[in-house]
Amino acid sequence: MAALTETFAHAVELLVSGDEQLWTIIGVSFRVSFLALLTACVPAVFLGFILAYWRFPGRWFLLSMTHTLMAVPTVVVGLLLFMLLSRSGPLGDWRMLFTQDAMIIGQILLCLPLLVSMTHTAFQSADKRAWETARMLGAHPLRCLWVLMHEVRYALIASLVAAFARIIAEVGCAMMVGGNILNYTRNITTAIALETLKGEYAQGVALGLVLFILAMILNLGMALLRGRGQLSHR
Amino acid sequence: MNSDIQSNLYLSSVEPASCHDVTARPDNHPWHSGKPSHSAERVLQINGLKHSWNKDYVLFEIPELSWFKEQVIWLKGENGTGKSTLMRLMAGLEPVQQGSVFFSDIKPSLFRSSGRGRVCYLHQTPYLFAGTVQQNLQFVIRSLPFARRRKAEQRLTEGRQMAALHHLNDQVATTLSGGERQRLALLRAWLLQPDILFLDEPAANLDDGSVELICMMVKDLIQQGTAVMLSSHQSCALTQLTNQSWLLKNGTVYAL
Amino acid sequence: MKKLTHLLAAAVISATVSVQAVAEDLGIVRLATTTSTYNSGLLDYLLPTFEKEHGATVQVIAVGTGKALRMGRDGDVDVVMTHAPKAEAKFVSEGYGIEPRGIMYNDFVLVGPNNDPAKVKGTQDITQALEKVSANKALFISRGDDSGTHKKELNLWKQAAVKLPFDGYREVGQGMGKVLQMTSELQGYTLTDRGTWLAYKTKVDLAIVSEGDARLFNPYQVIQVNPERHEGLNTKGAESLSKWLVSDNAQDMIDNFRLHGEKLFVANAKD
Repeated sequence: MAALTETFAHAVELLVSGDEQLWTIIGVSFRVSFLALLTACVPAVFLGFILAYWRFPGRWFLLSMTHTLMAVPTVVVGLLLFMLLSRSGPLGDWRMLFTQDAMIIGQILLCLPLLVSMTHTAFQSADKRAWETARMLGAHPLRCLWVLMHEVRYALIASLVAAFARIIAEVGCAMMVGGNILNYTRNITTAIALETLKGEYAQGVALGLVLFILAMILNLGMALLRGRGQLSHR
Repeated sequence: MNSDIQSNLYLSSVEPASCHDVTARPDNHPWHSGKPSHSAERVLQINGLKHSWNKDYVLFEIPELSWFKEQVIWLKGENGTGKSTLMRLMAGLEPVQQGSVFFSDIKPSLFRSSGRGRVCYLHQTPYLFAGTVQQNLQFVIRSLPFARRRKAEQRLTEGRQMAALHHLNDQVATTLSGGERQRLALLRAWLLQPDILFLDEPAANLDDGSVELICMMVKDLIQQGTAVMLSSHQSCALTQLTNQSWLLKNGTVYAL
Repeated sequence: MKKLTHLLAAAVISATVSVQAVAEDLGIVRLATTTSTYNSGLLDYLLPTFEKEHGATVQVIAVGTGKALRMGRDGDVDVVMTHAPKAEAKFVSEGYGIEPRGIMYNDFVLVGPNNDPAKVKGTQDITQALEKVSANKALFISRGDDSGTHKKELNLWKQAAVKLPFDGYREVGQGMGKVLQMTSELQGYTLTDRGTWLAYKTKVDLAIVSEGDARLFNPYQVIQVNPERHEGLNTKGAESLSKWLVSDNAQDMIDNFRLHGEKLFVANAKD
């Protein structure tokens, strides 16, 4: 028990004292995951919308594919991407393996199915009249979509939060294609894996705390947003 | 009602031109009587339109039906006969399963700016955008082609007066009363000036004052050349504006 | 019928024999060891003999040296087998471990791209070889995980008087196999134990550029976790395993172990 509290105290100390290496690692995590989410959300919203509002052949198949892909372990995605980007792989000439770009691509692949599935559900449960009214009033399709997105904004934000949580907390793919290179591709989760391996639990706990605090902030923020939304709109 | 139907013309078996024979409107209306001349153009033509639920339950089947210019149509029918569905089909909000709906002058399209906002359908319970009354009206103006925006801005004041919404400009739209909502929804359509306007039970649950205001706006739209079709399960001040009735019954449409 | 009797007799005899073999029942022995011994297959080759002779089950936890010693410190395992002399000495002097026994050594090799951009090939002196790598600002992939190999590497850099990190030095914090793969992908240099190298050399696009320096030798010790520090340790089992590993029988087995036809470990308990 003493060892546990000691580790925790040391972890908090590391965080508060602004340990440079620790904060670099945290920075890498946030940079990579934010960029991945930013890139993924636009196509995901479109796909989710199309799946919810357009009837086309193959729609059912696409939907079940997104649900299936959500269950694929992150290491498998990492492995596939690794094989693609490897020197002996088809995209080896890009020399992208073990870079932040590779990590971003991996995380895009990881959060896309989740985002598509959740935005699809959001759009499907939306008040259809929002889309129809905007359309009937002659608005550009993108504006109609914007109205609809506004209608389901809380569900959309929730899906963004869920996707962000998934990618910032995943370790398999980041380790595989990022390579855990210090000051470059070492992020929170790969660092935790490493520190644990080294028996340096304090750093691992400190980084774990960051993830925990982040999750807490995101969820509190969500709850607040939703509460406010209910007050002003229902 | 029923005895009327006996004398009605089943549309598949007759010339489209004959469907206006039965219509009789008071002549003191400010617009045409609804009897088109024989060279009359069509607003819309329906051919072999069939709509089913779950493949086996046929909601309605309309072999042939024409809507001529100058006709203001009252779509009658009991609840559940498919009035809304038929209007939504014509407005392009539901996919046509079988048959065709054909417009003679306009080509409605979501993607071409020239095809947007020409055919408008108003929900029975209107959907208002988040924000104020003003923002709801601005939404329409910003959707118009550039050439029409300035004109619409100028009409805005007149429209607000007509709909008696001028004092509510900055009120959040979702906090409006039922009558105010319906008037705002119609005012949006009035600003849009579509070629064809479908009104789904516009007078349901409204106080007389609101119905009167809505009547004025619809009348104004008709005068400006919009072809209007409204559904209502009972006659009211609004149905007085119509000069042609379509009755949806027994899974088909009878033009009265 | 006669046949059946024979079979029965044979069964009874063999059962008696095996009962005799399992004279002592040592239960479960937990061994924390480095990935190098485990991944090379040495333990899978050695341990069944020990288990059969002593009626024990050895659970192997293959981690880095740092973690292995940490597990020993925390009393999570009964015995550790590692290759980081300094850390091991500290481990024993601080009272976490007892009875350190040297059992064998293997060696490290410096590997690099086939085209050898830093022109290291032919340099047997490992410090000179490393100097060439840093002087050419060639890419060097470091384990960076506090493992025995990492410690060895840091020690060698120190001896070569190279200040870390130089341009091209990358700490990746992963296991040896993964580091070899990364080194191959990035076409850099890295220091690896020979066992992992042999296991990976067909899968990677690299070659040995320096080997044979005495400073590259890598001694393995087996250390029992101090029973006075933790309760519930299988001290008896740990002791048996430790003693068995330095026995003639086990030492011969180690010398005879081959990976891809090459000798990997040199038993040196008697030295």
